[in-house]
Amino acid sequence: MIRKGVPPTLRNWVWMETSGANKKKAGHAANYYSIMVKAGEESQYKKDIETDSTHTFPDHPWLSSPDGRAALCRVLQAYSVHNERVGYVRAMNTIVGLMLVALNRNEEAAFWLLAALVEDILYPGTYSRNLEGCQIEMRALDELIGTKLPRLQQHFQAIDFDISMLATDWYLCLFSVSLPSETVMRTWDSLFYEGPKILFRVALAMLKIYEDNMLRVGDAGELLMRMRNAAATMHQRDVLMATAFDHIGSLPMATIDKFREMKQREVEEMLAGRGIRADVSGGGASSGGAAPSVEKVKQGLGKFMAGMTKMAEKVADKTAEQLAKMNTRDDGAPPAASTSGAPAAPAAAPAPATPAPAAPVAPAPAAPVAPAPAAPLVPAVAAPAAAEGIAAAPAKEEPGNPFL
Amino acid sequence: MAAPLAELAQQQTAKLVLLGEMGSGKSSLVLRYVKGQFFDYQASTVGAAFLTKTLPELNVKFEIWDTAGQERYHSLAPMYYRGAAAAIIVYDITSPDSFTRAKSWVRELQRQGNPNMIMALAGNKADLEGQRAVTVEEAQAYAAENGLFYVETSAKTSANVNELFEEIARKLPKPEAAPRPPQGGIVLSENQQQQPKKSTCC
Repeated sequence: MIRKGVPPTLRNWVWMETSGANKKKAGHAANYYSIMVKAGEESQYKKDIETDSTHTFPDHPWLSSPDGRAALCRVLQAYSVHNERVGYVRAMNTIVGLMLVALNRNEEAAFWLLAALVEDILYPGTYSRNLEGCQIEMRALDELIGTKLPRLQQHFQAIDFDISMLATDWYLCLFSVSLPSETVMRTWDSLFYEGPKILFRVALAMLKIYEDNMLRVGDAGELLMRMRNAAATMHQRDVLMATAFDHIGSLPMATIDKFREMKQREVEEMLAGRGIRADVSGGGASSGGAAPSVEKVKQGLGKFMAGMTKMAEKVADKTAEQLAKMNTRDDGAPPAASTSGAPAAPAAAPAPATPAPAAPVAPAPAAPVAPAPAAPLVPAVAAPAAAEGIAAAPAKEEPGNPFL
Repeated sequence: MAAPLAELAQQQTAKLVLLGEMGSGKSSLVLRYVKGQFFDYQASTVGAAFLTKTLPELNVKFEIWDTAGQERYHSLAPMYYRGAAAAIIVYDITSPDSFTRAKSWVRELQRQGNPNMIMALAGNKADLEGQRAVTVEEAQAYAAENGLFYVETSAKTSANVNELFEEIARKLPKPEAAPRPPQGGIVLSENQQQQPKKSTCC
């Protein structure tokens, strides 16, 4: 059911529960977040965070307002002192920004969700000093492309296209700046519930949907530009999720972990070769990292909490409206018309969300998106490749994918 | 697969990478140059942005990689500067730290980059003269010592932005007579004819 999308009004509750954020929160003092906010005012990342806050969804009316920026800074600064080991990494601003919008500006929820992501859900070291974890994920993804989409991997190699050029943003920002926000919501619904495997599933689904288009592009930079464009207009979230869950084939965590382990050594060697000591020791917060400042900031907390409550009351349930503003077009409308290839899609196709430098790598025209396949929670093993490690059937032979 | 062969023979494609501290204005410089736009607040770069721009009069097509400036992203940079024909190292004239960072980028490129790479040092935000913290003399001396092309720019006012890129284009080694080998190993033949030629964009 979660794979079909959580109703926007329930997202706060569902995300907090499924991600383990609530549990995390319960393990700390009730006023922990406000203590961190206060301590965060002295964060060593304050300047970076303030700079990035002005560059976070600059087209969104609230996030680009002084109030929105201040809220974003509070959450990020608080997190940077809560987890001093990781601190602040550009990319977190986009995650928290979108969370705030999706969760009615609930700063504390965004804080704990970020904590659950960085400390428990995502691969350890994703945001570490050299982003080792993310680099390992990129290489693991490359291995999976070789398994699931071998033609594409060969093509990438032939044109010297490194998948990390495209997917680093996907994994660091959790698609928040790459896909339309409503599509991101669907991805996150599953991510919080099912974990980082979802990033691989959605990434592989994007690649599978556009595989044929990519095979025709002979230049790495252009391929990147077109895929980014295609992602930015991926409004057909049911198609994406159906592909991710039903057409990628089996994707056991054990396989991903096997690749990760293999790649960890590679990344460590690569960094060592450049005189950098790898730090894949995890995203866990250093316990009590902010302790010294706690006493100092305890005063005035009551006042702050009162303010929080008042603020929460003030914020009406405008989630859906706010989300709608993130994208000019954000409905589950039929696929956009193809401007770069193949016959035209239905005339009613929506315009791309943002004017882009290049024509999108348009998917082959498809029938208007039908609701996701009838059977809910179809286990991934039901897809053509039944056994682990077997490549999914080539896209064309695969029934049920509306793009193909 | 890319542009028509005749065009390829004349046009030189050059990979150009921008490096520099976070907030020094790399993305703004590129956006000003490629699209003639400037935003006080534009979405920050994660990973790297990619844009192209063709200079017909010089027969050069720039493929521009605009990298993320945060220190944390440093280890991803080699992927983008590998094989680059030119690099622009950007600092903010109001920030001595960004100048220090620029120097460390220069050292890294000298050590690990393409030895024939054309390197330019751009002191950006030249419109903020009142807050200047890095003198022209200091930057000029450093650039001279290291064989860099140096210019102060302002993405905001567009001062020297075109000049910077055009000068790099002029300094590029002239292409050899042989056209670039066609790129891309595997090509689906079936639908190829229906596909518009894609690489002539921008």
